[in-house]
Amino acid sequence: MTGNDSSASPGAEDPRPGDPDIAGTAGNPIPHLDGNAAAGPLWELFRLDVIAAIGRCKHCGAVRAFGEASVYADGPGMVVRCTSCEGVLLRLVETPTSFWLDVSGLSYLQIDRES
Amino acid sequence: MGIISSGFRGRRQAGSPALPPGQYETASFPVLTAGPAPDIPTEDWEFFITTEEGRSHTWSWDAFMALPQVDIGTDIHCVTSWSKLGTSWRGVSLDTLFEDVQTTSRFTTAHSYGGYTTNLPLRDLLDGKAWIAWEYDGKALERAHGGPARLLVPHLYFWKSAKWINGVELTQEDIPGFWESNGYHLHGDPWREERYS
Repeated sequence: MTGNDSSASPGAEDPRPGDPDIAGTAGNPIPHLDGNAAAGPLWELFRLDVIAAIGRCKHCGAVRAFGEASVYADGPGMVVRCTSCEGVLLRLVETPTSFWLDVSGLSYLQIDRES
Repeated sequence: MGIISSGFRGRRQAGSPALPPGQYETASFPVLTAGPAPDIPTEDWEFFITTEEGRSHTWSWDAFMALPQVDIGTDIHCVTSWSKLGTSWRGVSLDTLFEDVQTTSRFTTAHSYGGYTTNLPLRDLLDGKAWIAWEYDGKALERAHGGPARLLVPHLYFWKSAKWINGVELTQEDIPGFWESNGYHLHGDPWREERYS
């Protein structure tokens, strides 16, 4: 997985950032990143910059910039979640032979054409 | 562990007989998660088993803790290539939980608080191969690692050991779960390197 070079926001949006029990180790909350972390792999796939794209969450209907989403990038694949309802917007798995992309949590993605 | 002396705690590198192919040993316990950690107070926690006929068996935390508890010593293997050897857990065997469950189903879907799912053949949950674990290394299981309780199926890649376990649904078909529906193997045996579909 690429994307570890984006701005990390560990715990910034956790409901209880001071809760020590959420940490794998003390002071180390469940790591997640912002939508920038998903931009690299999606650029690699489609040559589209999705950072400023506007997406609609299929679960709760929230319409937000892709860059505002929460990205969980250190698991078996990348999971992008809605910051309003935590529903899964997008999943991306890279295997040795394929990319597996699931965008079923997005009802649309509006991507501006470059001027 | 085989012929390796249990007194030897040195780091075993790739190629060790304790490590499945493509795995390396880590001393840490990495937190890998597909989303935020649900906060489930034990007074609200419940474990269910539902059958293909719609019958539901449920346990509250107190009823679950009143069941026979066992200590489990095992190696664990994550599909992202780390393995952690000699881990210690405490929990309830799935054999105990399935004692009064009548079913003809061959497959299951494990459901977690927070919406995560993973599919397992029923045979991989029975005969002393799987537990609902609530203690790790002598302490209550941390929320980041799936507390208050997680599924523990150590003979399969660790994504099958669903954190924040809520219940097991018996199914007639093998229905791909969260990772299995997006590129990962339906079964996930680390000794056969069943990583991808």
